[in-house]
Amino acid sequence: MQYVARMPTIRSDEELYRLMRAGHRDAFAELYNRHEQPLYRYALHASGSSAVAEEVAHEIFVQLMAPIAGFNESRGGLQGYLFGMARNLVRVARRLGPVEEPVDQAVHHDIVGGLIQREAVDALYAAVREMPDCYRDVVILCDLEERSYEDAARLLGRPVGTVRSRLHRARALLGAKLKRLRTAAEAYSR
Amino acid sequence: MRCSEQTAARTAAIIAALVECARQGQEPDAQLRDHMGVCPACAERWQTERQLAAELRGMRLVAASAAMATRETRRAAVLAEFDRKFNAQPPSLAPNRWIPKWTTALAVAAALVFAVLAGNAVGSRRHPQPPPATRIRALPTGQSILYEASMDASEISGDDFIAVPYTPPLAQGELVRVIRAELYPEALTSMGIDVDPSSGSNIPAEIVVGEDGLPRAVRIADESQ
Repeated sequence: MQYVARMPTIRSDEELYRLMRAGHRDAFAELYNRHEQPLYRYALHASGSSAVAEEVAHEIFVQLMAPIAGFNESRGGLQGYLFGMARNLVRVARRLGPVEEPVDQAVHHDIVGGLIQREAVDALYAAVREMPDCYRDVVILCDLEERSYEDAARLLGRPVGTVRSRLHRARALLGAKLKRLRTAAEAYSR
Repeated sequence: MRCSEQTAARTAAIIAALVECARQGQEPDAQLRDHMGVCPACAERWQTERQLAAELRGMRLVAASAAMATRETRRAAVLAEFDRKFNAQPPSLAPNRWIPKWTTALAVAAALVFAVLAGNAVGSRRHPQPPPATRIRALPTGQSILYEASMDASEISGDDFIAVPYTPPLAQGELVRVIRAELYPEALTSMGIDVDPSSGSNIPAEIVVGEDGLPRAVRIADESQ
């Protein structure tokens, strides 16, 4: 890959951020490649809306190149900062209410339509969305993004033990919620 | 032994082990299986966890599919935004040379000095000015006569006039004025007339001046005239 040939050493997020602020497009593109997808997925899981996820992922990077930088290296890593931005933007979007989904959304789901049951996923999205923030975040990071407890703890700024216990509690809540939803769906279908 | 008959810590450990097995897609070990055989609550939790793990996998697939679907469009949009904000700097990271700010300032200053000096040099070539000492100092009783430059400007110098070097030639038909003036000896020397510069007194001379005010020729005035 040409990019690797030109930049053999792997730069840290913070180093790329400094270069980006100096106007280096490659540095910005690299940061985008590293973080956009997880941020998009986080926003999608937390909001249940691809339109919100798209908006949040875009807004994060627009804010990153704003004239007044909000990121301060002394307070923590860039990844945690980006994740914090995503969390706040999703909260704002949730407060503003539902958004209109793009018309081609059904097409994306059809790609994996044969592998999953659409209703189950919708129910899961609804259940995740209705969870308290502290539980929702650990489910998204640890189960949906498959991050380690240590990584999630770093991003959330919590101890590893707290993250683990919250996840176990969150899964119990989620399981109970889905059980109720399934029972209701079965009763409705009869 | 059922969970209800065990300590809270032991129950929590069993549940944690079940959750981790479901998350990793692993089967519980023999000890856990034995426990689930006698503890319906844990058996039910295990079933719930397994189902949840499968549904979360489905959710991951949907999210990954959605994230990839419009990725290139989103990427192009945000990079265009970057280009607009940072004025499309060339995408180069390879040579990460650190150039101190003072070298840039020094280079700019040097360029400015060079531009000023070069401008002065070019300007002086285009508009040669007589040295300050050659300025014509009109006598209170100064006289001047108008002539028309002939085809051959040497006619002027032919009559004891000496052409002033490094001055533009006279155009045909250009009116010239011959002025009588007293000049500093250094001024006459600079115009090519051999006089003793150490002689302190001014020397009367006649200067041929073009329409542009520049001297073209000079001669020592005849005191008898």
